[in-house]
Amino acid sequence: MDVLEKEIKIVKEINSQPPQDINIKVSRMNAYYGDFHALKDINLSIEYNSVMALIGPSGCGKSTFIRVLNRMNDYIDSFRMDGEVIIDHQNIYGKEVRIEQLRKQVGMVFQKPNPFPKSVYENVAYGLRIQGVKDKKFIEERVIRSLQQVTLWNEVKDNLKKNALALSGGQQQRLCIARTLAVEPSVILMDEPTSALDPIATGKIEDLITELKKEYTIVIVTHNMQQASRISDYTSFFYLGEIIETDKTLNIFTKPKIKQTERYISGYFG
Amino acid sequence: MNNLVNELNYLREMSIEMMIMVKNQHEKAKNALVEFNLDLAEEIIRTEQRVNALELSIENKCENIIALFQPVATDLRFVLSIFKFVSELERIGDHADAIAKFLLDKTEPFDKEILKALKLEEMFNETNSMFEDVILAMNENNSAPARKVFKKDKDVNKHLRTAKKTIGDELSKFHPQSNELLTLYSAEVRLERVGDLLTNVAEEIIFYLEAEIMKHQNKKKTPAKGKKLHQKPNQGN
Amino acid sequence: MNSIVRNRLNDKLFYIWGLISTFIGLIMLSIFLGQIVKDGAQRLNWDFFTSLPSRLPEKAGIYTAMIGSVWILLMTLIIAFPLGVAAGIYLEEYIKKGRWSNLLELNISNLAGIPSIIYGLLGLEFFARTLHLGGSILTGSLTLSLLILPIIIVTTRESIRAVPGSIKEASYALGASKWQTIRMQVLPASMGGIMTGVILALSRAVGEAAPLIVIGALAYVPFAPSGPLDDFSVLPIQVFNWISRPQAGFITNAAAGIIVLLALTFLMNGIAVFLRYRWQNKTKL
Repeated sequence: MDVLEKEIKIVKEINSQPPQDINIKVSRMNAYYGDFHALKDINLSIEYNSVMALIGPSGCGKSTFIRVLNRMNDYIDSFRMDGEVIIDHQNIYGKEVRIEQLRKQVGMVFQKPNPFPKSVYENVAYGLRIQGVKDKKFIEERVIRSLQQVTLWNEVKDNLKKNALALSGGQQQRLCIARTLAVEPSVILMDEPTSALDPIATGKIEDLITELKKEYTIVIVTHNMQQASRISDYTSFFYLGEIIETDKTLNIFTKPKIKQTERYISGYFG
Repeated sequence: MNNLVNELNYLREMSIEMMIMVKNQHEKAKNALVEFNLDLAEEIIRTEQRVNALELSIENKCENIIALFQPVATDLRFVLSIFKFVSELERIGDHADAIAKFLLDKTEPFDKEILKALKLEEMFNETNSMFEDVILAMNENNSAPARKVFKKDKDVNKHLRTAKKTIGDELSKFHPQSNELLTLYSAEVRLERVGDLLTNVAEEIIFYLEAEIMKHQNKKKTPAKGKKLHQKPNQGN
Repeated sequence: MNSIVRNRLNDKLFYIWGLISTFIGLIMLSIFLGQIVKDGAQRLNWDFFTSLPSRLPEKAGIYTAMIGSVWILLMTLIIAFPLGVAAGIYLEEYIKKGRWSNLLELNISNLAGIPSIIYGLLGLEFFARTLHLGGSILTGSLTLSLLILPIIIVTTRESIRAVPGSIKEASYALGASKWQTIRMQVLPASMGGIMTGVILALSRAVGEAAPLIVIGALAYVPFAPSGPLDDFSVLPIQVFNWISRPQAGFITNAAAGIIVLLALTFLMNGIAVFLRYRWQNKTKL
């Protein structure tokens, strides 16, 4: 098949593709910190094994939104929310939901790398230990596999007992990702994972995300629009607590439907 | 990084594919003309649509790469130069198509003597060889073959001048002002070309403002001039 | 003079002032230590450590006082450590922050500043009399535990607070419960600070005399205590007792006793510093 035929086939497939199964579905969600209405009527669906990037100016609710997905906002006294959040066909705010179980399914990587002040091995094993896993062989296999997945294995395999805080920033962040992978989540949430890293480390993490999306669903908050355009499949533009536009990343960056989106991505405000 | 590299490689594949496709059109045009092969002429006309479609695909890919990856330096020049030369290639395809259409209007082959006198085959061979040079340059990332075409182009120009003189001499046996006629005719061909190029400029402006691609489409919105397709050069000549 | 010169002069003056203040302190301390060592070093021999108290200075030793101090030390540790650390964890991690918790925090800080003799009176009335524990080691250590409890609680809270919140966040995000996070992340990370605080509090307890005297620790104990309900004495009381005797030999004994007490204090502080150093290296960024 020559290139032209290939292209025609690709375009046909993209246009006729039925929407993939939805992993995360948020409907009519509102969130408040006390009286402050942080998120307004949010509706968003995220497919399995895709990367959804959330862009928008600071303080527009992106971090709040992502923390709703793994209920990390529960620790804030003044926080409340209504609406529906369904992950893997289950309402995560339902009464029968166990938060520990939810957080194994939905992992999180933070902006500033935060490895535990323990050895590299213990960092990755932590998630398993808190589940009560005792089988040493099992833990070891999981640790090795997770470190391999984040391409950190070769850099640390000679000394797994080394203190995690002695690693470089980029290595620490990959370690944090490995730590999350060890408990086999289906969703990985990333809150500006590379904003504290240098360009080389950032590039490694972006390549990693592109690799990971084959097996996991990834939701990433980023201030860096070019990052969103490089690695995401879908992009959602948040502004002042509302979603202005959500679409395939290619469309957002070539033909956004809403003027405000176009102005933001062109750098005219925010 | 991987994504960008993959996209650039794919773009390279597409552009070489288009070069080869147009070169084939060009070769078929030579053979169709010289051998008076109407089947080949039909083939050329059928393939013309695919050439246009490929041009649109490649330009779309260039736009996407720039929007998503903001390439710089060599990568940027790569994308920009492909973006430009695919439209040149498409015009070459148009020329082959036009030549094929001349043939369909004829009922018998061209006089061999005339073909020889006007250096037709030489011009075809020379331009074909230029094609091979640019394809090689692209394939091997080597600018040396590309630099050879400038001299060859001068030879092509020389052949044209020779042909023009030959025609002028022949015609002036029958008409004293034949040289004037020929020169003015050449000027008008150029003007017709200017008209085509301006429609191309208009298409690009519409694309920038409304994200609508008018190239190779039926232009229902043009005022009653009736010109539907993307303007081909020397049509009906 | 212009401002630059004036600033430089002020810098210099302050520097000299700081130097003098430091040296005055050091010099006084060395004079004191020197005097003590001069007075008491001669008495430091095996006899001194193994003899029971006696009316004759040459025969009197600190054996019972030392044993008593060790008992007090260990029992106070056993009582105050778990209570203080647990209270600190509860107050820092579990209690609902609000008006009442702030009031509680304020009161605990105040307790740390109450004169130790008040604790002695409390111990006397409640432990010695109401609970009928008398002037025993148990009474003494319970009283001292109360004394140092606020210190341990405050130190524990501060050590826990020093653990970065991002560590806790990461732990929760992996599905750990609150207790798991405390047990496996917060406590190990803050243990250095906690232990330092506990040891310093204990070394204060070891040096207390007044509250123990009030609850009935005896000054003349001719036997070594063998159980928590026994009567006892401690080093500071023994020293106090010797100083108030007229014989010159007892002054020597007192000096020797002070040397032992100081040595014990320095040792405990040294352990605290060592532990803090070890722990900081573990968690150093």
